[in-house]
Amino acid sequence: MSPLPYAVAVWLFLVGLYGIITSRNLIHLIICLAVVQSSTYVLLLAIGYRAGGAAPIFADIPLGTPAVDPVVQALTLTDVVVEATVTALLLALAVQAHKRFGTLDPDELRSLRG
Amino acid sequence: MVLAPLPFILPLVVVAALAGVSFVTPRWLVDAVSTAMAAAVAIICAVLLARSAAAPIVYAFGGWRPRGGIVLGVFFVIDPLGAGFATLVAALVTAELVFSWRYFEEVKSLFHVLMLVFLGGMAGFCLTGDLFNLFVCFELMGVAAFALTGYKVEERGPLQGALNFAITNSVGAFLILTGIALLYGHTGALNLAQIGRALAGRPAGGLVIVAFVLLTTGLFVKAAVVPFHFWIADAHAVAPTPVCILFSGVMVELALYAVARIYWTVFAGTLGAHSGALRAILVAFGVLTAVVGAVMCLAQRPLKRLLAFSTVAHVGLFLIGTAMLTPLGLAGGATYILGHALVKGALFLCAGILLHRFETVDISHLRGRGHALPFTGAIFAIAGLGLAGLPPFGTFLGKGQIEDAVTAAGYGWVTVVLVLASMATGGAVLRAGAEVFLGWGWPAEDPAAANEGDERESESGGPSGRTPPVMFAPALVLVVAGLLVGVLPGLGQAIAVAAARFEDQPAYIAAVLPAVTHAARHVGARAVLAPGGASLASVISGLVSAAGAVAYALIAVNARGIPTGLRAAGARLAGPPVRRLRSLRSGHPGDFVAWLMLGVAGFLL
Amino acid sequence: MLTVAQTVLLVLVALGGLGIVATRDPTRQTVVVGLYGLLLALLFFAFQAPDVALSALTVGTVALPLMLLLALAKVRQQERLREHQP
Repeated sequence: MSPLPYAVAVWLFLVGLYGIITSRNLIHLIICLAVVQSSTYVLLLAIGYRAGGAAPIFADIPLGTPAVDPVVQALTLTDVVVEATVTALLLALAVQAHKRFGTLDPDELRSLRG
Repeated sequence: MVLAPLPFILPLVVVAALAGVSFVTPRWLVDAVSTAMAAAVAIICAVLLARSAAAPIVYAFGGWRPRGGIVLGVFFVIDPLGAGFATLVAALVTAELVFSWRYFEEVKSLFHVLMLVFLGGMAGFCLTGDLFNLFVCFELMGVAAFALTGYKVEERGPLQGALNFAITNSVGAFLILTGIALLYGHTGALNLAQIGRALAGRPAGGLVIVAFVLLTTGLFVKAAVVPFHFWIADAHAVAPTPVCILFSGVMVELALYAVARIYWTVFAGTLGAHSGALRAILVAFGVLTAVVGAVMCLAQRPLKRLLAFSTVAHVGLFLIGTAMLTPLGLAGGATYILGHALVKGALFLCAGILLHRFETVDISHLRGRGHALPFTGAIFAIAGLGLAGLPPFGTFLGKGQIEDAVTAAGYGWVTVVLVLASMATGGAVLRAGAEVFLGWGWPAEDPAAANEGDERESESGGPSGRTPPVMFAPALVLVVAGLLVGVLPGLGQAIAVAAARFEDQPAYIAAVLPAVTHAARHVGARAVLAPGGASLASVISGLVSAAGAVAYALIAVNARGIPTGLRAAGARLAGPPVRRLRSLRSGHPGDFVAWLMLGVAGFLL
Repeated sequence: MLTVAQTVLLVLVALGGLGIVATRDPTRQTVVVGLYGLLLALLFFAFQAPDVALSALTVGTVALPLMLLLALAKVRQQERLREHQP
């Protein structure tokens, strides 16, 4: 298996983290978190992939055809749903923070707390 | 065993029902149903605890039994320690829901829904035998916890707490997921027992070590281990007080439980050769956490932040116990967690009563006003002594076991940290109690310092003239339970045996995968009988730390009597380190994440 | 071995992640997020995971940008209110 998918996963993880660390806007920061999460999708799929394997749908293919691992796909699916939930919750919190303090900058928000 | 999945499934089913009919149900019904549900889960977990005493209960969801050593379905594997933890969780949720009857004047059934989701997630986390299921439960309780932290968003001050909490914990969750993916790629399994069997006996490769570090750090974020602890004080300051009981009492400790569970089911067979180095690293984390937590605890003025940092200090102590990688150390950690959860729950309930009555938890604003609440003051003081590890509280029993374990493992000097940390946290609590309930001490000379991080919150909707007894009762019950843990004969022994079983990897694997590992079964009988009682040395250290706590509190509130020069010298000595520690905790979530990565790097090296 | 399509998509996804982080204006970021979601969905498809691709398509290219736009609209509305009543 080529190392490229793993490299991309690590890359996405680091780039997303860089975004979080340097972010000046909560909404931007939340999206960067989603980028970090997408690195886990790539990693999971790369682990389950078999070269030349078919999609794990066993309805009309002959027995013994190589297929990619369906378990990791189930995991990825769960992961996608988790991402949607967490992002929605975080966005709601960010909107509330803006409503109260009129800013989305984490540093400004911090200075408001006294 | 039909009961096995219920602690996880029951709350979630009731949640669906409650959420569906929330618009037409009156408040009392929602209260009654959710409290009854939490109590029912507690009883079910206790039954599971009793039944798992002989052998772990293995429950396969959907009846997918393992074939030829390969697990297809999701398993619950219930052993006494896990079931006991789940019982504690459910009991605390029950106490907290009873307290909330009168605490919130106005509360939507959303609160109860979130609370039950939280309960279901934590119970599943305790009982599961599947790595990915563990992650899902982690996220489930995480999401419920984020939402609960931000609950009462309309009325409260900074949302930073909830946001920081959610962001750091999410990053922790991704680390865990990455670790899971690596392990799955390496072994082709998600079941803890199956991964453990695949790894056992082989030398640990780089991939396995990286996976272990990722899983452990991810869980350490949740466990608020220094340097991943930055979210905890913010989250506690913002979250409604009843929710803090669960955060401090069980959620944080659950992550440590998971570290121990994963180590003993998955990695023990392969990392066993490196256990010396691992012990040293974990002890270092534990000592650092205990020291930083204790120092920060002494420097806090808002009561909830003070209690949050005392939790950090105690997490360090639990970690030290677990880090010994011996049954006695783990038993000490478990007993300590049990005793601590009860006492800390009582303290938070007292803080909640104060907040309900006076609408502030800042000690400076509360000075002397606690006169009106002598009963609460008494509970607060007793719980504070319990936090310091006064015999015969459960905390004392657990601390004694940890002390014996560290001495046995050649880390005798750590005992000093144990005594000092419990002394400092207990002392800080007692001092706060003396100021609030007795009006001792003097007003803060620096009013700016008193305002730090505090907000004049009114999460319960207006000050109230009297405090209903239904708010006292849970606090009293928790304190008494905390005492009972220490005096109940045979409890320490039982926990020690449970811990020995917890660390018996071959027996665990044999229970989950019966056919293949038949040969390993005889090892299961090797349930080591570890000493569970209290030794004389631990009684002495318990008395010393409690006395030290009282002495600190007395000195601190009577500091006027001390010559000014001496006081100034003390302040000069303590000021810079505390300020430096404070300045590390900037509010920017990005900084938290940067610290997190630094911690991961440190761990890897 | 990876096919050409997989390689190209992986590189594109890597660039897309960078693009999201580098776009500091949330409104523009929404567009990039939608594109990134589409790329991810195509990548999953190329990795023989059509069902994941479908859910990623729904979440990544529809739900996520929609949520972002709603949040941004809400923020803008609040800012307008604030200007009217200082």
